[in-house]
Amino acid sequence: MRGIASEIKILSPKNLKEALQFLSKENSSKLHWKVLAGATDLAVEFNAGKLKHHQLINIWPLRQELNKIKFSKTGVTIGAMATFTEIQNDLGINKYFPNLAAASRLVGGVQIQNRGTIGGNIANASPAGDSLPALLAYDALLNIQDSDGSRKIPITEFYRGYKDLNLFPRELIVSVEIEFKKHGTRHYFRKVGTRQAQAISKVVAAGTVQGKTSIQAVTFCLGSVGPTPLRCEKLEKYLTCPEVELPIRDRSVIDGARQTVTLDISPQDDIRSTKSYRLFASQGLVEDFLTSYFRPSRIFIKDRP
Amino acid sequence: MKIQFTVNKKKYSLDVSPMTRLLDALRNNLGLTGAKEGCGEGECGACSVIVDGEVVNSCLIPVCQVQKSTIKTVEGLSSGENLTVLQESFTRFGGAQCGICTPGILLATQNFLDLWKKKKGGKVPGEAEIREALAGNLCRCTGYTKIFLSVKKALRNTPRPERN
Repeated sequence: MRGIASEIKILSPKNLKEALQFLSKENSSKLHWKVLAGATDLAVEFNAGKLKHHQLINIWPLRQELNKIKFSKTGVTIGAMATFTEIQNDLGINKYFPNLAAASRLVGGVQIQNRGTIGGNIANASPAGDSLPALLAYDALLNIQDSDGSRKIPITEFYRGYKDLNLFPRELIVSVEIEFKKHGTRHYFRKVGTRQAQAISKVVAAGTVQGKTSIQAVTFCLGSVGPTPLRCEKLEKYLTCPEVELPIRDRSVIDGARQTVTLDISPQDDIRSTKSYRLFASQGLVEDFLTSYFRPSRIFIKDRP
Repeated sequence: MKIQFTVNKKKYSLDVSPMTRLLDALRNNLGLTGAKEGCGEGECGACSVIVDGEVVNSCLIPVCQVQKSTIKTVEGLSSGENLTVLQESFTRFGGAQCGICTPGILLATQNFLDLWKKKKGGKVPGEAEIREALAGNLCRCTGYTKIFLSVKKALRNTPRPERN
């Protein structure tokens, strides 16, 4: 059953201040008004007649205020309403945060990228959200505001369970901050989907590695293999060890990593894939990550059309 | 709610619910039936239109988000009976078959070529770039080969092939 437009109330605030004031008044106790950003997720629910919310606060008019991508000496701040098109077209993002640029190119098709926002992707909290492992692997910080003030939290603390967020209904995510990685950091991003383009991922992976002869620091994150996009902490711990030499050619290390990643994830069967395939693909991605990251520094997007 | 926007250079003012989909407003209120509903979930691109210079899925856009926007649909591509080079090419080289995806594909291609020209000038986009630009448009007839051929022929502006 299709959703019925006349049953849905929408309020369109003119600016951030107005939006926050409205939210703190209406959403102080419970989520009465759901935030509508680029509508690429909520409109799908609406079209399928599955939209649970009948009151929406449309923050698309706030785009001018919240879509800036600003670089500073320490890193970048991306406005929450920046679209994936804006992110993938930003030269600085491509240069310093290639995983995020790659993820932005793989979110849906051009039509979705033109409308989908990074803040929306974060707040929608789909375990399959393409940009989320990239943000997790970069240790991104979220700037969250309500009408009384703001707070900053690491994105790793934002997801508490399936669609369970560290975010009050009166708050809005206003921007995402990422610090520059150390010079020489290798970046890795890979999406496994049914089709080369426009497919929701079966598994999506992002990682970074620092170090020349041994691994100094490593991050590896996966999406679609648990209730939230997640960091593979056990795998990271296993790999951060002076005895692991770079480049990795030691089969026992690779096999160990493949084993360890299974402890980090809890994949399930669903319409897009199966538990066993996701397990298999995650292990394959770990091996690909370890054996390809030391090639000349560039991103590896094998699924691009 | 009152919505004002410009579609194909004509100004409109509608009184509709804010959650009305842009696709429905175009088809039902303005009678512009070029944009089609395929999947209703942002996968197929049959409902593609251009909003403020960007191609979007009109089935996923509540009209309250296009207040004062400038919109172009497939009806606004040609000038009267005169087709654009791209449209000509699609008709000549079999890029349009059943036709459901065609309006969306034409708009996505046109939007891509316009942006490409702005960014890269006279350089001709390659197959990979064209494929990426059309990733959001599904076609179940052509197997895409004829579509990419039509786009490439349009880029070269190849004259009509001789018929036997």
